[in-house]
This record gives sequence, C-alpha cells and structure tokens, in this order.
Amino acid sequence: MRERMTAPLARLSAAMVVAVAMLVAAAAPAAAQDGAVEAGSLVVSEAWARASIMEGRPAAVFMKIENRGKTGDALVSATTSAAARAELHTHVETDGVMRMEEVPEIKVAAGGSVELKPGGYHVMLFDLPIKLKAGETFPLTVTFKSGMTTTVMVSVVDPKESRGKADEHDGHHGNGGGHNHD
Amino acid sequence: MRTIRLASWGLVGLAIVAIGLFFLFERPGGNGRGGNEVLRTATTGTAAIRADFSLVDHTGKRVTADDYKGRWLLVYFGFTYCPDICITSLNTMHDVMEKLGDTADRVQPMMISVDPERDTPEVMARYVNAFDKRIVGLTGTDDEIRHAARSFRAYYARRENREAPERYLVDHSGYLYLMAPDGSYRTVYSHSEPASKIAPDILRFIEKEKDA
Repeated sequence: MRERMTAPLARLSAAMVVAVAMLVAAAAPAAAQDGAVEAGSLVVSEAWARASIMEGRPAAVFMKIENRGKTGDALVSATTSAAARAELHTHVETDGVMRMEEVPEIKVAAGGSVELKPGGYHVMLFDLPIKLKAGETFPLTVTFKSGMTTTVMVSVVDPKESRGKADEHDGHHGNGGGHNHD
Repeated sequence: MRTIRLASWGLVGLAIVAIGLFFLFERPGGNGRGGNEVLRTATTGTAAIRADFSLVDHTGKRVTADDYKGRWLLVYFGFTYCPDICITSLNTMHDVMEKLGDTADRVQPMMISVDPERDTPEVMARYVNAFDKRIVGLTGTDDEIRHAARSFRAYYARRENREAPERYLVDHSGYLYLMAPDGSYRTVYSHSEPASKIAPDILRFIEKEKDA
C-alpha cells in the first residue's frame, strides 16, 4: 500500500500546476495571442466561455482539439484557477428534452478532431469565486488519457456575442425545419 | 400465391398508415423525434397544449395567461443555473424579436423557470434583462410551475447531486412554444433552430391568422 496524497496536498499541487502554467502563459505572449497550444501531437485552440450573467452560476468552456498523432487520445480532465471544480459534460437530447451529463472522457481519434461547442460537449465549471467578465482570459489546464497535459487561455465573451458561435452550430441543423437529417 | 402477395401488400399498406398516424399524434407541430417515454407521456396531442398559468413576473407582479391574451406568446422553459442551452435559447429569442421588426409588438417572449428554488423574481430579472428587456421572466411555487408546465405539456425534472446538493441540475424541454393570442398552441421550435428560420415562420402564422 502506497501512501496517498491527502486532499489538501493534492489541491495545493494542482494550484501549483496552474500557477506555473499561468507563469508560462504570461512568459509566452505569442502563444497566448495565437490561442492554440500544443501537447505532443494534440493541438488545443479557440477556447472560449460566456461571461457570467450573475454570480454563483456555472460556466461552460468550449474549444477545438485536434489530434495530429497516429494513436487515438481523449480529454479526461480539466482544472482551472477560475473555478473550484471542472467536469466534462455533454448534452443528451431525447425528444426535445435536454439533459446535461458528466462524461468520463471526450475522445479525439488519431488524425481527427473534436469540437466542444454549444449544445454538445463542454467543460463545465462549478463554484466560480468571481464572475467571468467579457474581454478577460483565464487559464484552463487540460489533461489527456495519454498523460499529455497543456494549459490553454480561455477567452471570455459577452453572452450575446456568443450568438455567432452558436449559429455556426445551428448551421449544421438548418434544413428548413425538418428534423429527419439523422 | 397471388393471395399471399396481395395480403403482404395489404400489410405493408397498413403499416404505412399506422406509422403515419403515430407521427401525426405523437409529434407536437412536427418537431421532436418521437419514440421516447418522456414525450409520449408528456404529449397527449397538439390540441391539448395551451397557455394556462398563474405566476410571478420578474418585477414581482402576479400574472396569469389572461393578462397576455391578445398577444402571440413565444415561451421557453428554462433555468438560470443552466450554462449553455438556456443562454443559446434566450439569445435566439432576442434575435427573433429583432427580426420580427414592427410585428415584434404583437409578440411577448417569456421564460418560465423550472427551478423555483434558485429563480426568484429578482434572479429572473437579472437573467432575462441580460438578453432582451422585452423578455418576461416568470417563476412561482413548485405547484404553480408544475401547473404551467403541464398546460404546455413541457417536461422538466430536477436531478439531485449527492456529492454537492447545491449543484443540482434540471432536465427540461428545449422547445420554444408559439402560442396564438387566444392562448392556443400553434407550433414549437427546437433549441437548435436559428432565429433566421423561426422569425419568418412566426410572421407567416401572424399573417395567415390576420386574414382568417
């Protein structure tokens, strides 16, 4: 039996990881500007979240993940200084009823990509100590099944400005109101 | 041989009619997918859906469906703790109102909370005002909300979180309901339909019934 890390110690080390990541992000403005970060053969880009409408409300983070490698991988966890807890969630729609569910992982096939977007996969943030404000950014550390980990800067946008992004998603459904495309 | 062939064609025909009838009665306004237990119990036919409620609006005033008679209603059931779908839907509601032009005066957009514990009138005010000042936010007691949801045949269910009770979520119908000025049902729009599709459709309904 190995000695296990006590919870406070685990939290402390997680906080240190985030702190180091923030320093790295601050020291590399070019990477932050571009938005895309790499972890091995994985590229995480276009991370965004909507500004909080009021305090005490969860937030959803969206992003693109590309796997340029030859083996499949999966996003398995996320941590951030912006929230006490981050979970991987998806939406399950059954006859118009929307249900959010936690998922253990979000797969990224070899040579493929996955988009976390409104109405689908997202990183759900709970217990935010302060509201997310439009125009700000915050770091989110994502960890993959392979052990790869990287920190991406999440851009906070006005909830109204997120319409365009949601519309991109809607575009795939636009077929004159019929819903038999699947 | 011939009788068998005729009989099998007859069965095929019967099956087609049966499938047609199934979809006719199971799908509100042709949206939704049919075949799930939840909606089958929640939807008992389009004629049964109507606006019937007594709730408190986001200014703290008691309102009933009668207070909105004479206006078209665009109704969404949601909750302010919802981080994604509700925001998308309220943005859509705002965009629809923008696209309706002058006709927007005849349409009352509203969000009915399915989370009365968190959504007080004050909370609803902050939430709906963040999207569009024309949106009315309604909330009430558990019983009042249950009654309202039933009248719309809208489904919702609170899902407890054992680990962190305060983080409970609420599953809910993702539809936008279009109700006529007399409170009767016209159609529903899925949360994934963009305002550019919904607004012209609402205008068609309003135009059509002007002549009727």
